[in-house]
Amino acid sequence: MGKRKRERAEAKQQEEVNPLPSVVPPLVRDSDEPVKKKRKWINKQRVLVFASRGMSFRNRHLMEDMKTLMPHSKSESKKENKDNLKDINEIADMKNCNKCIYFENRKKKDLYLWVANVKGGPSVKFHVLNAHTMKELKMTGNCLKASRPLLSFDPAFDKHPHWAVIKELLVQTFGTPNQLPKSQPFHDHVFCFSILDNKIWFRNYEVLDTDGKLSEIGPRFVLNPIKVFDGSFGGETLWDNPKFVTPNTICSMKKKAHSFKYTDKLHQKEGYNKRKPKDPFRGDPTNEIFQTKLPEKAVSGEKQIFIRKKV
Amino acid sequence: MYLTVPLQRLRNSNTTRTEVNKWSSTRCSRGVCLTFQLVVFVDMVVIAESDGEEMEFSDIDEMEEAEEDSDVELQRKFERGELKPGLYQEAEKVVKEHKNNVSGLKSKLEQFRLKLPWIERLDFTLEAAPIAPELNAEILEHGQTREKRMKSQNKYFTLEDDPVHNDFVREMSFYRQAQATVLEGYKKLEELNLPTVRPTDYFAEMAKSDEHMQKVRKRLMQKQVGQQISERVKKIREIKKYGKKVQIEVEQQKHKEKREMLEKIKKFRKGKTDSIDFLEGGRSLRGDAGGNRSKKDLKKAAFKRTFKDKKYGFGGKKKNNKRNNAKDPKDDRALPNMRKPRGGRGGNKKGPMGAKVKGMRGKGGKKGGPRGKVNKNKGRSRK
Repeated sequence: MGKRKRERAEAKQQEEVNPLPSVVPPLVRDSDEPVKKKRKWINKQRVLVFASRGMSFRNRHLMEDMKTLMPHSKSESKKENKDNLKDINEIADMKNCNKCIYFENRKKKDLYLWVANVKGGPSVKFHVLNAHTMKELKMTGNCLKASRPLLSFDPAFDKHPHWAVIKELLVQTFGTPNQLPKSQPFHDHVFCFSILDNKIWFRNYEVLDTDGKLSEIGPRFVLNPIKVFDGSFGGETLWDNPKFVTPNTICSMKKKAHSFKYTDKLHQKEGYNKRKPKDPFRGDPTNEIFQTKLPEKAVSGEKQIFIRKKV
Repeated sequence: MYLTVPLQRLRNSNTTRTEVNKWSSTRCSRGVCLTFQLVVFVDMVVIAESDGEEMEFSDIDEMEEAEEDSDVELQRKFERGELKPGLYQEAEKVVKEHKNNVSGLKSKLEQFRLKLPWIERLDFTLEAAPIAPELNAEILEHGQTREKRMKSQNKYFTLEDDPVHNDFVREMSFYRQAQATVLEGYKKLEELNLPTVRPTDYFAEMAKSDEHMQKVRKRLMQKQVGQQISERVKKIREIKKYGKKVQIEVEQQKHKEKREMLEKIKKFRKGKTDSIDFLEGGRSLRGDAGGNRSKKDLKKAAFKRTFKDKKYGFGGKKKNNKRNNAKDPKDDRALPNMRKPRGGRGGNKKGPMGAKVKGMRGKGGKKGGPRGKVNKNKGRSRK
């Protein structure tokens, strides 16, 4: 379908749904008059989405998916890991963004996600697990590229202050602003954030009908919060996750467990050698005294015992 | 055998204590107090004398009480074989503090919170929707199929520990949470007269391209087709199995009857006075192809068969085809409801009908002329 047709269709739809304003602008306008500003778009959020070097294919696709789902996002080229994190604030400033989502890659396998409010606000660092992208064929749903999502949160987000801060940050970052020029009219998908096992599970569903029938569209991942900072990409630690185990620790534990196999085998061998008896087991010869044989069952040589010799 | 004796304590500094392979005392005799330094190796125990001072009893008691815990620990470590020769220094325990600055968090939240009406945010915090009965049924079904499949492979399988089933239940709970949001959200949006569901004929740029959606559809179709095929194959297998069973049964029955028949014949031959009645009557060896028939039916069928054979089989009836004996001209069998010949016709025997009538009467034997009607009922009652 051509672009014009699409636009016409869109315009038609909008007209049908949103009726013409009751106030009609005047037919004649003075050129010296300043143009009245449209003041409908008040929530001005712009999110800078970018990553560091050393990204794997899956994480790169995840980032691309985030960019498609957030029409209020801007992208940036890759950043070196060695550079200071605080520089990101300046980069965001240059692009006129007030929020930032930064994908930090370490060791070419671990992915950390930073969500930050650049202008003096808090920032959170997450460890990303179980990432699945939109391109997987099991995700059968589809949605409009720039429609506003409904954001669904678990009631557990209200129970602790650190979860409340994280929730607020997620709402401001992931929610498409109202009346954004790029945004499209319908509300046809839901971002679902749930808390399970102290981690945030993210799902994106398409709404098929008003009864609440859903089908999964988009990326799914699990965020394990590590720390909440007072400032953007730094500052005082407001909250620290006591149950967080770094991927390095997990890796080293696995390796140790693997080595236990060898050392256990050695210990077992040693133990066996110590326990092994040197001489074969010899029965007690006195046990044979009480073993009697019936005369009927006596074999050839033993029959002599039972035969009485006549004197 | 080895002695456990309190040892000389070296003091290096005020803060740190150094313990040199010490052993706690277990109420050693208060008389003599020897100071030994036990240097421990893996297999051997070597006692080396140190240049010790004699300690006073009060000192010993103090030492004991202060160092009992760490000493006990050391003893245990030795038992396990973890102590190595050399100096031991007690390290300071590092307790990791986890920050939870509640007031800081709350103030920060107030500081950066978006103080705009709800429509700008579109966020919902709701409990998950209650389980729909269909969803519940699905979960149960998934559990059952999973259990059936895994029990055959691993007898220690439990459904609670199964990650696949737990995954399914977890996804269902997320689904329900999103459902609750949708129901609540659409209500609110409709109150504000905002569009909710995307109509099917709305063409706009989508998050996933059309080609991708085609791939997805293709995959779903393939899955469906695969399922159908496997179902059909299963059915056919079932039918074959059943058919095989039935076939075997029927064969066995046949063999059994044959055997019985032969045995009976043998018995009869060997001189048993039982009559040969079993040969006639009863079921034929062909078996009940069409279910249980009564004796009457069988007789009738048999009669019909034999009659037809006689008449049409093997070149048809031969014996009584051409005969001209006294019986036939008489033809005293009752004619079946034939119209009595009227006067006119009856008198005039020269017309076409007359000729026919004459012809019939004249020839005898065959009732009709060359093209005459042959009454197949042969005088018997018409149905």
